[in-house]
Amino acid sequence: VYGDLVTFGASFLGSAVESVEALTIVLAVGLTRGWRAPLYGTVAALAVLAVLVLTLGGLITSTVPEGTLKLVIGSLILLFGLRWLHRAILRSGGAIAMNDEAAKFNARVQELRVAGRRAGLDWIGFVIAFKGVFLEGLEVAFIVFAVGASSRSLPLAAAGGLVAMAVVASAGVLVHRPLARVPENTLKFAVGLILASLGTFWATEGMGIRWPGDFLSIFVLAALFLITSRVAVAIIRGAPGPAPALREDAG
Amino acid sequence: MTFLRSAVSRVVKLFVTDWSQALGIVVILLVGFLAARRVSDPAVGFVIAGALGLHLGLRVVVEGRRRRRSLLPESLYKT
Repeated sequence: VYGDLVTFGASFLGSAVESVEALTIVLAVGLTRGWRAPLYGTVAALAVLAVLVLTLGGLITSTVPEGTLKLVIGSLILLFGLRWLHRAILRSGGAIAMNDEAAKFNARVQELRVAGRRAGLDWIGFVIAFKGVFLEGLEVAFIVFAVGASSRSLPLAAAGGLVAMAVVASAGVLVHRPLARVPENTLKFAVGLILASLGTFWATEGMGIRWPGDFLSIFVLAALFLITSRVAVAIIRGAPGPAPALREDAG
Repeated sequence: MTFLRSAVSRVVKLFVTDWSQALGIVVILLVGFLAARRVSDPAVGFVIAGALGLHLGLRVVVEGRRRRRSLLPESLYKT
């Protein structure tokens, strides 16, 4: 049960963060150039991503031995998770700026207003939405595939990703604005912690190490990374520099 | 072609933005892998996790302090 919860939760949170970024792009295109083209672009990008996850996921999980799969995918998840955690710590410590979806949205709207339009399907709108959703969706696809493949629960991880996308899309339809108030750095911090812990657990299991308490050891690993992160944020905040941004209090 | 290049670059950047940091993680995993083949003890897992945590902490603190100092006006930093 804990394993299923962690699989679903990691997939849901990681996908939600990336879906917010994709939503900003689709909203910017839709509100400035009309909805038909960006919706087609979004559907096309999601279809390509689904085919990638299903074909590659099915092929890899059915042909690669479990130990090798855990070692390779676990190492990749670890690299991915530590990268997110690293950036989230720097943001929380005030060393780099918080991500501003509203500013990104406004910049994109300005660009799109300048671009010309022709009769028929708005290809500029289609391509921008397709590219945005596909590129942001690559991270969602990786999280879903990696978490699902390593835990042998691809359907559960896919459900987490799909529910996250549905929640974010529904929120976007309701507010018709970028979701600037989502605590993105806090989410990235949490996902970075979960993925770094899962990656360490699976990579070491792939090496043949058996953890005491099996899956419960992931909580010990998460505590280790959490303590490290909190200490790092405190040290960075204590360094000479401008006051950290207080918009989010992540980590 | 530009789109393909963006996609490939995005895939690489999923895992690596700082090559020296990624190399450090890979080296820790490689040493852990070799140690796990010789010693079948759960403690090896905790040592690997500890090394990864330490690596993350040291790297991010050094980078964070450097970045914060660079955000200060030069006169303030020098005093």
